[in-house]
Amino acid sequence: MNRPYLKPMGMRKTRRIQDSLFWIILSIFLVFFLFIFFWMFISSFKPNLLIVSDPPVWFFTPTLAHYGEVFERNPFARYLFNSLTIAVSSVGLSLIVGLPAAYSIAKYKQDGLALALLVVRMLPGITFLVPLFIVYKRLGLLDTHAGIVITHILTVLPLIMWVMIGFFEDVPSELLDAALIDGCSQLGTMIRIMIPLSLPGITAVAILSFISSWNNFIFVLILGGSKTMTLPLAVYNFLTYGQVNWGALCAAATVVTLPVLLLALVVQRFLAGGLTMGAIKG
Amino acid sequence: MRSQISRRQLLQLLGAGTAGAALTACVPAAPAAAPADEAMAEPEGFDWQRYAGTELRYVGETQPLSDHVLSILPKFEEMTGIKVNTEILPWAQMVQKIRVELMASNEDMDVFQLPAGAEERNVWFDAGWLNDIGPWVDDPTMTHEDYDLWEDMGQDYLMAGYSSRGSLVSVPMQMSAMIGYYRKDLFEEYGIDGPPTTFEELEAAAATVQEQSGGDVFGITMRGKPPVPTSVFKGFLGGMGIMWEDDDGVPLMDSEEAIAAFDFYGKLLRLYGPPGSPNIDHVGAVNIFSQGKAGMIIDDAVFRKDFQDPSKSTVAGNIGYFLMPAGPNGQRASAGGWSITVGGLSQKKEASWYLLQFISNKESMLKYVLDGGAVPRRSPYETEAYKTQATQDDLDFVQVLLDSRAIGDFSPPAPPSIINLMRARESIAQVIVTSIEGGDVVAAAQKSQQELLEMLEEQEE
Amino acid sequence: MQRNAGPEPERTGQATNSSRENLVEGENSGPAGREAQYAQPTGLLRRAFALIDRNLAYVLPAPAAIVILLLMGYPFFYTVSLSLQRVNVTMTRFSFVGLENLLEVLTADERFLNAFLITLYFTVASLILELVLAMIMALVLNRTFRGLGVIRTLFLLPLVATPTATSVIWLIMMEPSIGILNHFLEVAGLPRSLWVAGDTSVVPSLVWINAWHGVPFVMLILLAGLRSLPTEPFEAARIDGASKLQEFFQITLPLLKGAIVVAMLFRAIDTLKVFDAIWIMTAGGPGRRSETLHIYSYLTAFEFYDLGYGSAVILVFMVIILVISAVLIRLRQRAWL
Repeated sequence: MNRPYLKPMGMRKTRRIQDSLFWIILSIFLVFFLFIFFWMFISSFKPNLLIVSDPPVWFFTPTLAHYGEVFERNPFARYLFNSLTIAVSSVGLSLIVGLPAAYSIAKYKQDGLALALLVVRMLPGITFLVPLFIVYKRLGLLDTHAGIVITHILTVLPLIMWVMIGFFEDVPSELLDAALIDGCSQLGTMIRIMIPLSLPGITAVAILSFISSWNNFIFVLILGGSKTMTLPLAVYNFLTYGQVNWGALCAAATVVTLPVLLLALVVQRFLAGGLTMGAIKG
Repeated sequence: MRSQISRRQLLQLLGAGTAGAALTACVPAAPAAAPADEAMAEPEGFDWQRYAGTELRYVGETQPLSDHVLSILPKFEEMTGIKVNTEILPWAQMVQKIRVELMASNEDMDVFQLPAGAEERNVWFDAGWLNDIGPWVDDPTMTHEDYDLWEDMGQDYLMAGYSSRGSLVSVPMQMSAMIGYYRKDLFEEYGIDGPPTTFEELEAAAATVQEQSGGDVFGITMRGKPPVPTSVFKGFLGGMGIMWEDDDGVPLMDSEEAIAAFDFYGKLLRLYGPPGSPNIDHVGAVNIFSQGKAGMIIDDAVFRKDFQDPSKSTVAGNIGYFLMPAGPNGQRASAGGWSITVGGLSQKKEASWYLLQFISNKESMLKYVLDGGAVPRRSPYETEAYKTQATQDDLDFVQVLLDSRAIGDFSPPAPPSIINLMRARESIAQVIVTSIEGGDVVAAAQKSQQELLEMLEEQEE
Repeated sequence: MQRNAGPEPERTGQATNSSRENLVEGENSGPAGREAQYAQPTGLLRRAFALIDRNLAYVLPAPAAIVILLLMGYPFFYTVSLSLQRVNVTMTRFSFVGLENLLEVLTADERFLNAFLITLYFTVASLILELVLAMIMALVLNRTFRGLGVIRTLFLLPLVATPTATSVIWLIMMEPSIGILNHFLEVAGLPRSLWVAGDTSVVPSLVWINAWHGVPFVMLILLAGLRSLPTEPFEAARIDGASKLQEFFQITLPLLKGAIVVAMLFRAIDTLKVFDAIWIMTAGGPGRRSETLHIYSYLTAFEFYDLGYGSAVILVFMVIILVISAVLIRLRQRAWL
């Protein structure tokens, strides 16, 4: 054994062990977390009969019939339009309403307000629907895009604010002081300094909110109607009394998930990077 | 006060062979009493166009019945000038939507499907959410003369459409019952002599399938997940010689007969059923049978279409049907089916009745039957169109349905004296779960009985 | 994180201002402090702006507060008022009973107690599992390699997929006799499980499904936290010869405390409220072994039409969420120091 060579070799070995450990853990996670999507995706091309068979069938002639059914039974373009309109406007409006409030909470330490906001998120959703329906009926908001957008604002606003409070607290105070001394108003400071500085965080939280608005179905179900139905409804169409149309369900789920997944793929750099500052502070 | 016929009057009317005649005999008074100008405008008393321009809402479940409704709507809209907006949702979502809107007193609930089994009918009727449809049916200005509901539908099914307060609150759209399905191929292979006709044969057949297949195929699969098993369990209670309650409306859930029924139902699933039966509802049971994993299933007749569809079931073509077997003290089949109703809060009740009438008339029901549905009206089965189309399997199936209808029990899947049937149903289903798991059935039954008595007491207040 | 070590005084609320804020706002004069010095109103518009600017602490959060009050005020009042009444099952008779419903929920309702304990079990187990898995995942992903972006996005899938669809798919995968998970167990030579149909396996199965959904959210926040850790403490530890494990527990974990608490706060709230997944998979069964507070309150108010009592259950349920959140928020504030 030649001592001088021992160390580098050992290090290489450690690195190799670390590398393989990394890939092993990653693979295990991938399998456990993503198998269901693999199953869902494969099933969307399987004849119905083979989907729930035991033992599972891995080789089969793929069919596009389920996708045909999904597009045939749903006015897809309209649902997509509704989903996009509702998600984009509720996230946009939440940002307009939420950012100033988050700034205020961060700056003036309005902890009570922050807690009150969280209460909104805590409300058990379904049970509040009867009174909400009454309110909506009276205000003429039933089955309107505006009505649905407002309910979605309620669910995403707390998330946006709580994450953004952390970001705003993180902006170095020197920058603000400098702006104020330069004669900027408080409002101007917020718009010209805080928001640009927190842009990555805003993007990240906007994406998370977009996902949650996209997937929210209960408000559309109860307070919406034929004019406002959104894309996730396509999934529900295939759960019937006594039978689940597995193939079509999987196809619909894939179709509904895909737009959000593509969006996430495009902005994922922002997503991971963007949360950095805010998350530490929470 | 709501005007309504008493249950007894109704029974008398329906029970008479001349029910139709009796009813039509007493209605001509109505148009005579109507204002003269209206009578002149409608010399025949009925006009499909009367509510032209109205806009209605239809809320239904994603299932064949809704497909049927959607298919005939264009014709209705053309004929009446009424526009119909439809909202078709899966069962759970449909129920949630209808409930929230009714609780919030929404006036836009025009025509909708009543939840299967309609266990909430009493509650909804008392809350004013449903109408008494009877007077409309009898009013020749409101109902077309060819509608012929009373005679064609038959007393048994009309009772199923009535609330227990003696008013017709919905129109039954479907003839269904809890029937047995068995695997002809397996029964032959294992030398089982035809489908079971008694509880003993049922158990023996289940045991044989389970043993001979080496456990690959379960003897039987049935519902176990609360609250749904009570609909199937009803037939087992009947076999033991009782129903939910005695003549005075006192629940019988801790009686000897009920405990025997709980024991038997639980034993079948514990010994010969799939593991995890307490979490298996009709969806799960249907799935297991479709996959060829069970020798028998006792469940809703509507599933025949799925079982016989080779794209959904591995056992299509190998299935036979049997009537709910007889127990030691009787034989009853749990019968019923979906119905459609007009909302009691609706502001457009008359136009809504036109829609419901159109959906449930003879012509519509014949089309539904030809498309594979089963309906309580008798006339579709007597048409040439049906007779030429029906296969032997169709005829076998309809025969089992008719037999079930003959011994049918149309009561709700829980004691009818309890207004809050949903809660009662859940309580009783818990005893079934205990029995499947092999727990203390007597204690569970006594607990449920206690809960049921408390519910009765509460509603007395 | 860096500020943790800084000389800032404790932040407990509006009364205590940090030195930084004093500089900006003037002593205890509130938000309007220095505004007058530079805002020189010359016109009406300008004056209006100045007014807004001076009262920024009220103006900024006002829209958010108004939206929330308008929409949630009535439903909240409605629930509270119903909880004080007894409503008969046909909802035609309402009688005032005061606190009777609430007292019964708290003292005499076995089913509520059962639901409370199950909710607690479900939530605590979910949070622990999520934290552990998310931490491992974040540590693994906290390095650069080819395809990182794609893998990170794929891990977001459980968060993105429509929950109803995934619940139904989990249910069929967990089917005891024909489900694919039992098939895998069998292939691996392990005993089959009843999954959500078993009396002891139901809650763990639901915990897994809930964690599966929540881990990406937690992971994302932890990963962001890891990315921004200062390097100095780690270098110092390496010189001291600390092992990787020691490094993790003594440096990484304490530094991540803030991120952990905020992630757990949101997951705790969402987990306490989980409804769809449980309703679709077990509806509270088998028996009542997965009947959480949300399921129980839904059953009481919607399935059993007991609006008064159901509202009382909902109120108590809300207070429980509030208390747990308040505890976590307290932890969050501590984590700053």
